[in-house]
Amino acid sequence: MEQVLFQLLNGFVWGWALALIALGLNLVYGVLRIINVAHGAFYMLGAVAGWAILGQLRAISDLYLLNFALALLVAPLLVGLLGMLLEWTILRPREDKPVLTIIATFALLLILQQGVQLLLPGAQRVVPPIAGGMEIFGLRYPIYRLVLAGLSMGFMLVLWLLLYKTRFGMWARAVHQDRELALAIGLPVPWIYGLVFGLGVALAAAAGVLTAPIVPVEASMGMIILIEAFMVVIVGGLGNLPGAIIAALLFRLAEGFFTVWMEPITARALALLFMGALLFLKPQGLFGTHED
Amino acid sequence: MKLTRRAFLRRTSQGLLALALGPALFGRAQAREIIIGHQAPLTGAVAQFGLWHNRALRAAIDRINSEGGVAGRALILITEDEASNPETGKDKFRKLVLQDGVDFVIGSVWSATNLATAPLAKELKTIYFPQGIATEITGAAGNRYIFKSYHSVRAAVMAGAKWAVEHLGRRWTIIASELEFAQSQKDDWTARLQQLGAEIVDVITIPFRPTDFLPLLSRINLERTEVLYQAFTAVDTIRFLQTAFELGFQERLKILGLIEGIDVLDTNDPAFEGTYYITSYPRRAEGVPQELAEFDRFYRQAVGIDEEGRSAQGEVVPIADLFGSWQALSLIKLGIERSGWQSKADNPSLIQALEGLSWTAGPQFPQGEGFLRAEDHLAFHSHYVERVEQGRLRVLLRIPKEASLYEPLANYTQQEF
Repeated sequence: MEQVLFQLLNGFVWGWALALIALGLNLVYGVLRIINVAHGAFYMLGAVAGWAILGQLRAISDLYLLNFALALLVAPLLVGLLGMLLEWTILRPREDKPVLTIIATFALLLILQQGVQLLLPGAQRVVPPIAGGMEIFGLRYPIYRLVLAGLSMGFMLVLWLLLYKTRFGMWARAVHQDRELALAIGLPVPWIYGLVFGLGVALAAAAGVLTAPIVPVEASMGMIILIEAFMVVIVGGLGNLPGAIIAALLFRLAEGFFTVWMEPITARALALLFMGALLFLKPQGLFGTHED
Repeated sequence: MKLTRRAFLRRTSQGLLALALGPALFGRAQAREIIIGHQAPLTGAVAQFGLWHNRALRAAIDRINSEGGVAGRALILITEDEASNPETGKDKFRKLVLQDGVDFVIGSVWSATNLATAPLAKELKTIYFPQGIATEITGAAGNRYIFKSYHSVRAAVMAGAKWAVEHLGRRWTIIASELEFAQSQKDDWTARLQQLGAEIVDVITIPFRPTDFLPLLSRINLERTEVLYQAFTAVDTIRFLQTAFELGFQERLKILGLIEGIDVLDTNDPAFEGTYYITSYPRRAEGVPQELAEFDRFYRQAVGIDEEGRSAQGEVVPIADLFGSWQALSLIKLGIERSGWQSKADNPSLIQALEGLSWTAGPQFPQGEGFLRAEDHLAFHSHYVERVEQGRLRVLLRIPKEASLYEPLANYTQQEF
């Protein structure tokens, strides 16, 4: 029983991190209608930027917790700006051709991944800002992971405030609902596109920094998570933000649950099968609407 | 066309020139260099190993050439990236042999690539020195053209198991990646531990590069387990140790593995402290026995490794892994000298010269004396047990090569060439 609870707890923690990544992906799709295949690369860039910033800060300050907090703010900002630049230069000219944007973002994925591979051979390690563990369900659980889940929720809260309590959010939602009408009433749609894309990849980068202390930081780290993020977004319903969160939690909880009784490889296969079954039962996604 | 005097002269002079130059060109091809192909994983999962093996081969070749080459012929190296991928590895092996005309191939450290390439080596009648350590490479998967210049998993298990059971504990949990070399470790340890009467608490297989080790490690029975045996590649080993450290395993049980899993990793990290490794070459010069110190200095200097096992740039060099490639070239040299090999047509006599060949310590064999077992073409050499103490690997003991002997899994000497 303790094993089950322990696995569920860990699934819950990972679910939030995955949801943060999936949210960025979903946000970009919802507003720009771009399927951003490079999303995993931005997640990786966030982790690498976080690692690099921490390395630079180490020479200046000994307060690791503060350094980490700074990296958590600066890395997504930098990656977000890079995202805006790439959206402006590479994606904007192809915005009305969805197939081309998929190919373009795929090319971006390869370029970013191989570029980092060249500069950063091998896996790097980021030390968690909070060490130690606590006894939960008879096993020691690293405290940082609980903090990770909390911070992920924090980022989502900020996103929610941004989308529902600010003018920018209202505009972004307006563009999501009807692009032509938004243009007609004079909203700066190109700017909104750029900012939303930047915001979406910044979320992935934030997840990258947050998970850097529990995964190895290396060029291909975005690949597996990208597949999971896509799955979660599709099962949750394309463009549906709460759906992505719930699907992420369901997937990770299922995997954790199966891990208690079977070989890890089988557990993963079963979790994927479970997600497939969900999609079979609800082809539009858990909360999807027909228009998507 | 009318044949003019000029045209006649031009044609005949061209013909004469060709006749005059032909033998010269042909003659040069006869006394040509010996070409070594390197099927190297320069990208992909084990890229760090591939780069270092390539550097070690270059160093060994420079050394051999500076001393007059092999039987008066210089060695040259042609490298192909196999991308830690068996399919690419096969293609690159074909290219090396058929297009570049290499005489010998030093293989990848990626066992899956070695297993996929082995049948090709026989088909193309090219001697292949795989650097992966999965036990099957010198078993059912191998053939008469395959030579292992450095241990197999089973040899390492045989070398260390008895000591480990006596000194670390009798109740074991084995946790291994799904990759070939790790599965080899899982199988060989399970069998050997049962023979030694140790108890196997649990055996867990982990997917390659799992997103998270924590849920997988939390399954381990800490109450019963005394020794946790781990088999992963570098990327996963560091994550395994990190997670184990977070869960407090290092305080509660002994963690043992093969050096291959951490050969490129910096052990100066609390997660490594107190962990044990069965190794084939001491990372730090301090651990090398007195009688080998001179050769060790030579070997380290040639490849560019300092006394702590680092390069001039401060990177950790997989020194235990590298001597496999270094030793492969030494074996090629020794074999050619013994057999009078001229070209690949003489491969059968070279193979026979290598079967059962033994050597003594020297600059060519800095690891010490050893031999190539005739039946399965596997090199036997001594081993070490090392432990991380204050962030550095320290040799606890040296195990003579006889301890790693096991019943050969194949007898290639019966096979046709």
